[in-house]
Amino acid sequence: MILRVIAESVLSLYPNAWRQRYGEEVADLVASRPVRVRTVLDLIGGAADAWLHHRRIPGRRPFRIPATAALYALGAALWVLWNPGVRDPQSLHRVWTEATRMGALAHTLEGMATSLFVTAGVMGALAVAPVVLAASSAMGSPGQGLVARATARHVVRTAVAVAVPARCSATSTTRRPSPVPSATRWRAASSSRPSWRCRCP
Amino acid sequence: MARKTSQLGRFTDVALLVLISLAEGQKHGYRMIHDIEEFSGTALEPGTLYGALMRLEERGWIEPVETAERRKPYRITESGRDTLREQLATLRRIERAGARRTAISWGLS
Repeated sequence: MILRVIAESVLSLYPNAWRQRYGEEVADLVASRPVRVRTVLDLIGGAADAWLHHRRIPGRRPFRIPATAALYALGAALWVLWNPGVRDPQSLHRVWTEATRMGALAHTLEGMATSLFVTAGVMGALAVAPVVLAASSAMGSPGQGLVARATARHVVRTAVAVAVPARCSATSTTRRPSPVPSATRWRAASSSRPSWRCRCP
Repeated sequence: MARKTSQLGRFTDVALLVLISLAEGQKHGYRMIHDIEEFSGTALEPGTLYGALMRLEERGWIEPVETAERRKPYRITESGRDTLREQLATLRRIERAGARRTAISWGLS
C-alpha cells in the first residue's frame, strides 16, 4: 500500500510533457499491478531518463522557464543582493578590500561577486518592470475595484522604493566616515539605531 | 539495423520485445507487459516499458491508436515492421554463427 502511494507520487517527478502524454496510462498500470521496491526504483530511473531525453517526448513543447518562478527568483535577487548593496556600496567595497588582503582566493571571489552583483541588479530590475506595468494598468483601469487599485498603488510604491534607492544611496555616501571598526559597528547596528542610517523621509 | 537500433541505448532489447509483442496486433501497456513476460520470461516495469515506447514512438516505429478508453493501445507501423524484420534477420545470423562455432568447439573437445 505504501509502495503504491510512493510509486504514484514518483510520477509527479516526470516532466510535464511526459505526464500529459503517458501519465494516465502509467498511473493505470501502477494501480493495476503489484508494486514492489523494484517498481519504484524503475519509475525513479524512468523519470531521470525522461528529463535527460526531454526532446524525445512526442508532442513536447519547447522548454521554457515558468515566468512566475523567474519573477520570484529575480525579485528575491533584487531584494537580497542588489538593493542593500546599492544602498551602502562603500561598505561592500570595504569588506572586499579587507578580504583581498587574506589571499588570492578572496580576489577571485571578489570578481565573481561583482559579476553576480551586476547580473542580479539587471535581473532584479527586469523582474520589477512587469510588476510595475501590471500594477500601473490596474491603477488606471476604472473596471478594477477599490481594493485592487489600492493594492496596485502599494505595489508601485514598494517597487519604486526597492528598485530606486538613489536618494538613500546619495545620503549614505555623504555621511562622515566612522572611526569605529566595521565589525564593532555591525554589532552596534544590530542592537541600536546606527548613526549612519539613511535619513530619508 | 545495428546502426538504427544502437541509438536506443539500453532500451534496444526492450524495444525489440515491444516490437515483437505488437507485431501480432495492437496492445496497451498492461497487455504488453503480460505478453512479453509470457513469450520471453522478461518482467518489465512501467518506467522501462514507457521509456522504450517513447523512443519507438519518436522514431515512428509504433503509434498510439485513438480510443476513448483510459488504456491507450499502440500498434506497430510499417516502418517498425521493417525494422523488426531487419533486427530478427541480424539475430538469426548471430544465432547461426553461434551454433556453428559451438558445434566446432564441441567437435574439437
